[in-house]
Amino acid sequence: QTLTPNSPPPPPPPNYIVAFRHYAAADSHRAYLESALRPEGWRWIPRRNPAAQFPTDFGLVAIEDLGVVDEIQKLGSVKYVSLDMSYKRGLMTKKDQRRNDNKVGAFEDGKKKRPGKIFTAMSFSEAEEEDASNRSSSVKWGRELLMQRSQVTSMFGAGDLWAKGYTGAKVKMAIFDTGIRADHPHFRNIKERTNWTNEDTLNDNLGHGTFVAGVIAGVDAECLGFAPDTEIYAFRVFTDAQVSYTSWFLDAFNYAIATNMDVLNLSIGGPDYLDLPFVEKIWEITANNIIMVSAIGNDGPLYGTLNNPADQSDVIGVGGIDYSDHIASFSSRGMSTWELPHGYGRVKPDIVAYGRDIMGSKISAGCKSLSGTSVASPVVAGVVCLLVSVIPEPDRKNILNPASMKQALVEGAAKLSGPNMYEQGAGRVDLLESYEILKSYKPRASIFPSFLDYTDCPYSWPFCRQPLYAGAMPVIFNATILNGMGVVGYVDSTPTWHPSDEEGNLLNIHFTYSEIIWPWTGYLAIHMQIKEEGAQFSGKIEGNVTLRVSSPPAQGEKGPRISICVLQLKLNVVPTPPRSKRILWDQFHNIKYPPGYIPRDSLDVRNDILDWHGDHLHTNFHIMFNMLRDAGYYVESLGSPLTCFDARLYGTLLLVDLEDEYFAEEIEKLRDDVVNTGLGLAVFSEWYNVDTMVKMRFFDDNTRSWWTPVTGGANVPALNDLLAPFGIAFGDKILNGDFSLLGEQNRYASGTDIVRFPRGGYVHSFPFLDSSESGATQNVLQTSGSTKADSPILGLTVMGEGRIAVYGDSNCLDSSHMVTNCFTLLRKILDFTNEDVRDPELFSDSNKQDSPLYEADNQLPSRRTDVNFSAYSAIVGKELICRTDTRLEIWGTKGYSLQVRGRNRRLPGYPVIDLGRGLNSTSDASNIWRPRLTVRSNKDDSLGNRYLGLFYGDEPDAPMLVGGHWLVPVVVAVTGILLLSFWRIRQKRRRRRKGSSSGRLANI
Amino acid sequence: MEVSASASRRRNNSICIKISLLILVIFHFSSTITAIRKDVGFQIIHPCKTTVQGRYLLSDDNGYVCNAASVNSRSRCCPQRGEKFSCHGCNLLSQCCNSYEYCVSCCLNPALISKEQVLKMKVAKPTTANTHHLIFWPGTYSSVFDYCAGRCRHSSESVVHENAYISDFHHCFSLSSNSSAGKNSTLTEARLSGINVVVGRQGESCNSVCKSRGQSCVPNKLVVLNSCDIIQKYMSCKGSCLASVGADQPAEVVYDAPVHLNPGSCLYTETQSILSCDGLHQHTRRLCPCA
Repeated sequence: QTLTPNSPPPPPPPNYIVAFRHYAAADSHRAYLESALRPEGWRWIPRRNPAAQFPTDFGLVAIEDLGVVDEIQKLGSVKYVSLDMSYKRGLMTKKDQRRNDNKVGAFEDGKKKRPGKIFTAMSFSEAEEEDASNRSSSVKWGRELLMQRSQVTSMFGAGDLWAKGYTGAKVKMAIFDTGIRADHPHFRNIKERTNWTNEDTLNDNLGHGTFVAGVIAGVDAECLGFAPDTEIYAFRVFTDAQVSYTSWFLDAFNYAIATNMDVLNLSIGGPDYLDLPFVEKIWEITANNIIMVSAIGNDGPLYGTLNNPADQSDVIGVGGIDYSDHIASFSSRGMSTWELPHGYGRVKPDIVAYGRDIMGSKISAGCKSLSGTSVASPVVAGVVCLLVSVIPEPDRKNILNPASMKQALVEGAAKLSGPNMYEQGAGRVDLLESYEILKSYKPRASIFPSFLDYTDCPYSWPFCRQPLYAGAMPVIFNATILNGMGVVGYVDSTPTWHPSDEEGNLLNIHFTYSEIIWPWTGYLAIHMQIKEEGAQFSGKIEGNVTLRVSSPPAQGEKGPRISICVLQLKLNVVPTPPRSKRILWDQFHNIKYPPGYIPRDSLDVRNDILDWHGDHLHTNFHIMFNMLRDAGYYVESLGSPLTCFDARLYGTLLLVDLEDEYFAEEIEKLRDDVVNTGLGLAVFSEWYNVDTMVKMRFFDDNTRSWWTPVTGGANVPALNDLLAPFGIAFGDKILNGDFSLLGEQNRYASGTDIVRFPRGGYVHSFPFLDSSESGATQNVLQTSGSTKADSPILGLTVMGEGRIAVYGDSNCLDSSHMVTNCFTLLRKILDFTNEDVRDPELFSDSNKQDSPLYEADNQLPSRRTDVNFSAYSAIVGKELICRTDTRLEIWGTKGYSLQVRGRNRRLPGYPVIDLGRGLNSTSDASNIWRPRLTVRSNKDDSLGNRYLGLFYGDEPDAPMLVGGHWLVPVVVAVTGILLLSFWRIRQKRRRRRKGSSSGRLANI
Repeated sequence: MEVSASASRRRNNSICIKISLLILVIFHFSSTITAIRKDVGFQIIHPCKTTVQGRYLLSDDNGYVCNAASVNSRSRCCPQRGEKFSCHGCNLLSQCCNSYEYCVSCCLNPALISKEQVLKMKVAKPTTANTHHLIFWPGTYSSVFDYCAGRCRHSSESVVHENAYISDFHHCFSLSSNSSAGKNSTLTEARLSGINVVVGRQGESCNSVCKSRGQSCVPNKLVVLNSCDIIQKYMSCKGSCLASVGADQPAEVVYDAPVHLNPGSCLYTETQSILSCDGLHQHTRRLCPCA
C-alpha cells in the first residue's frame, strides 16, 4: 500500500449517509433537515446523477460538528446515520515511489516472485532527507539528535534499570538477520557470528542486522540500545538481497538450541503458517526455553495481515506504534486465522512498541532512523534482555520461559485508548511495570486476555459492537493459556462458569481447549449462547470462568504444580432481534492462502497476488461488518456447511467471495430455504477464467515447485451449481471499469458477468473492459476507438417465498485493496432480500427482464481438471458435519436435514414468521425438525483446532507400557465425565419436557 | 420463575459435589502414583538429562521414553519400564524415525552408535557458504545423549520443497562422516529417500529433466549423487569414472562424443560449490535428483 506523506493536507469534513424512513424526493429530505436543524456545522451534498429524478430514502451530508450527528439521529423521520466510507488510492508522487521501493515484499510486481521463502515488507526509512540536511549544521544536528536520543530507551525508563545494575549482562541474544561486522564500535559483546546463507560473508552489507543489534545493545550515545552488556550472537540467515530459505532457518535454529540461547529476535515474517518444518522448529525453539520475539508484520492497516512466526502463541509478537501512542499505519493487525472457520482468531499482536523513526546503528559507524514493526521487535527484544538480567543467573532458566516473559509483558503493558485488542494486543510495553512483575514472579498459569468486557469499546471490538441474544450462532472468544509452570501442562478439568448473579444462568457456555498445553501455551475457546429463556432479556451478564492448570513437578518438588486461571466476562444481551434484521455470513466456503494458491480478487493489485487476509467478517471485511452494525443489522457467522443453520431465523444468507465447492445436501437445502422458508440470498462473486489462471502460475524456488491457482477469485463453477436451481449463473469474463449506480461512482475490479438470470428479474448492465483475453497481469490499453460491450453484473429477483440478489464483484466490500465501497448497494440489496423493500432505481421497469438471460451449458465456466482440489477443500472428499462454530445442540451432526420433517416446534420468544406471508405460503409444511443428538464425532473433531489435526493426525499413540502410570487416573476421569454427561442428558430431557409444557400454555 | 431458579441452584450444588468427589478420587490415585515414584527414585544414582521439545513424550539419557507426567521429579528420569533404547517407529536401515523421542532413544543404543565415534567428532563452525548444510555443533560432543538430542532434530536434510518433509521419518541419528564402508550405502540411501534419481537426455539440464516429469530439481542433493559409487549404480560408466570440472556433473559422456572427451565414461566434480541444476553439456547426460 502507499505510504501517507509526512504532511498531508487537512482532510475535508467526513461525509455521512442519512437514511430516512420514507421515500421522497431528495429536495424534500433536504428541506426537512434544514427546517429541523440549525444551519451551522453541516452541509447537504447534492448528487447530480440519473437517480436524482427518482424518490430516494437517503441523503449525503458533510458534517463538521459531531454534535449534529446526534441531532440528526434523534429526528423522527431519520432511520440511521452512518459514515460514508470511501477509500481512494492516492496518486503516487515521486517521493512515495522511492519509499515504496524500500518496502520489498515477496512479489514486486504481479508477474514474478522473488527467490526464497515468502516474506513481507521489511522496515523502511522515512526521515532520510532530514538526516542528510541535519548533517550540514552542527548546532541543529546536536539539538535534533539530543531529542531523538531520549526517545526509545529513556521513554521506556531503561535508565532506571541500568542504575540498579541491570544491563543485560550474561544474556545470550540471538539475532537472526543480515549479519553484523565483528569490529563494530557500537557493541561491547559480539560473541559469535555464523553464516547460514549461500553468500560467503559474515558481514552485514544491507544494514538491517546491524540496526536491529543497535536497538538491542548499542552503546553509541546517539542510538543507545536497551541492554548494552548483552552477548550478541549474530545468525546471518538473510542475504544482502533479503533472501532466505526454510532450510537455512532449520539449521540455524538447531544451532541456537544447541548453544542454549536465551532470547531470539526475528524481525521478518511471512504469511506461510503452514510451512510445517518451519512452524515445528519454532515450537522446538520455545520448548527449549528460548524466548522468541518477532515482528507482527508491516502490512497494516489491513486486517488479517499477521505474519508468521509472530502469530504463534508461544512467540512474543510485536506491533508498532508512533510516539503519540497511535497504532502505526504499517502495523499488521486483525486476529490470527489459523483456527478459522470452526474456531476464532487469537489476539495478536501481543504488545506494541515504538516502531516509527527508531534510531539504530549503521553498518560500520554512526546512527540512522528506520520505521517498521521489524524495528519495534528489537525494542521488545532489548526490553526482554534487560528483564532477563533482572533474575539472578542461577535461577533464570527456572523462572524465565516464553510464557512467564509473555505474562510479565502483557500484564505490565499499558492499554491504549482507541485501538481494539486485535490492533494493540495488551497495549504498549512497559519496562518498569514488567520489571515489578518479574521481580517477585512465582511460576503460574494465566489466560490472555484475562477479561472480555462487552462494555469496553473499542478495545473489545468486535464483541462490543454486537450484543448476544437468544437463538444466535455461538459467539466464540479465543484466549491463550500461558503456562509459566512448565513446557508441558494439562487442563485438569473442564473450565467452570461462575455467574455473578441469577442472570448469568441465561448463558449457555461451552469450552474447547488444549488438553495438553505445549509448548508453554495453549488455547481456551469460549462458545457462548443465550438460552431460550433469555429471548426477551435485556441487560448485562457478568461472571468469570475458572480453569485449573497443572504441570509436572520441577526438580525436587513432590507434587505437580497447580495454578487456577480466571477469565472475567461481562456480556451485553438484548432481546432476539426480528428475522428481518438478521444476516448470516458464510465463512465455511472460503479458502485462502495458505495452503493453496488462491489468487487475489483484484488483478489490478500487483504486489500482493495471494489471498491471505482470511476473508473473515472481522479481518478484511471488518469495515463492512461495522457498516452493517451501524445500519442496525445483526451479523452472524457460519463456519460449517449450509445445512447447519435454521433458515427460519435469518433474513439473508450472505455469500461473499467463496472459493470452495458445495455438498449436494447444501444445494438442496438452500433451494428449499429460499423457495419455501423465505430466506433471502445475497451473492457477491469474483472473477473466474481458466486461461487467466494458467497464465498466473509461477515457479517458487523456495518450495521448488510450480504454483498454479487452484481456482479464481471465486469458484464460479461451484457457485453456478449452487444457483442452478434458481436459474442463475455467472460467466468467465474479467471485467474492469467504473460505473454509476444509486448516485455513487463505483469501481468494478476484476469482477465477473452474469450469463443466466430468470425472467421477471431485474438486471443491470454497464460497459466494461474485459481483460481476460489480454492476460491477467497486464492491462493492455485499448485504442480509443474500441467499444466496450454492456455486461450484466447485478441481478435481483423474487424466488418463491424468498428473494435473491447477485453481484459479480466483492472488492467493494473487502477492505484489503478497496478502491470504492458499495455499501449503499449492499444496504439496498439487504433491504430487498430481508423485507422486499425495493429501491426505485434498482427496480425500474427499464431493467426488468422480459425473457430470461440464458447461456448454454457448455459455455459456462468449467472446473480445472489438472488441479487436485481436494487438498485444499473442506468439501471435496470430506464429510458433511456441523462443527464447533454452530449451535451447541447440533455439534457433530449433519444439521437441519430436509429428510426429517416433524411438527411445528415454535420456540417461545422466537420471532414468528410473518403472518401476512404465512397465510399464503406453504412454509408450515416444510418445517425443519432438528434431529436428536445420537452420534458425536471423536474428540479431535470437537476440539475445533483444525491445524492441530493436520499436524498431528499421524502422531503415534504412546505405547501402553509407557502410558501405564497415567492411564488409571485418565480412566477414572473419563468415567466421571461420562457420568456427568449422562446426568446432564437427563437434565436436558427434563428441561425439554418443561419447554414443551410452556409451548402448550402459549398455544392457549 | 421460582421453580426455575430453584432447579438451577440444586443443579449447581449437585455439579459441585460430583466434581469435588471426582477430584478426591484423582488425588487418591495420584498419591499412590507419587509413592511409586518415590520408591523408584531411591535407586537412581545420578540425575538424568531429558529432551524437552515433545508435546507428548520425552527421552532420558538412560534410553527410556515416557510422558512428562511420569518423570521422577527428584531424578528427572523416566521410570525404567518398557523397552530400553526403544526404536519404535524407526527404520533401522536408514536410521530415521517418525518421532523425535524414539530417535533419541534408539540412537543411544551402544549397538548402533559407539561412544568413541561420537566423542571424537569435531566439526568446524559454519563460516563459509560451502559448509552450510553440514551438521554444526560446538566442538566435541560432551556425551552421546547430547549428540543424539541434537542430531535427531529435523534440519535442512529433512525437507524437500523447503516447506514439506521428505517423509514422516525425518528424525535421523546416523553419523554423517567417518562411517565405515559397510554402512556407506545405507546412509546414502537414507539421504536420497524421497528423491527420484533420473538420468537425463543428452544435452539436457537437470531443471529440464525434472520438469518433464512434473517434478523439480533438488540442488542440495546433487552433492550426494556426486560420487562414483552412486553414479555407477545408475549409469553404465563403460570407460571409467573420472574427476572433472564443470557445472554439468555428475554425468556420463555419450558414446558419440569426441574422443578427447572420453566417450562412455562418467564424470564427477571435485569442486562441489559449482554443482548446479542449471548446468548442461551437449555431449553428456546428467544424473538428476528430482522430487
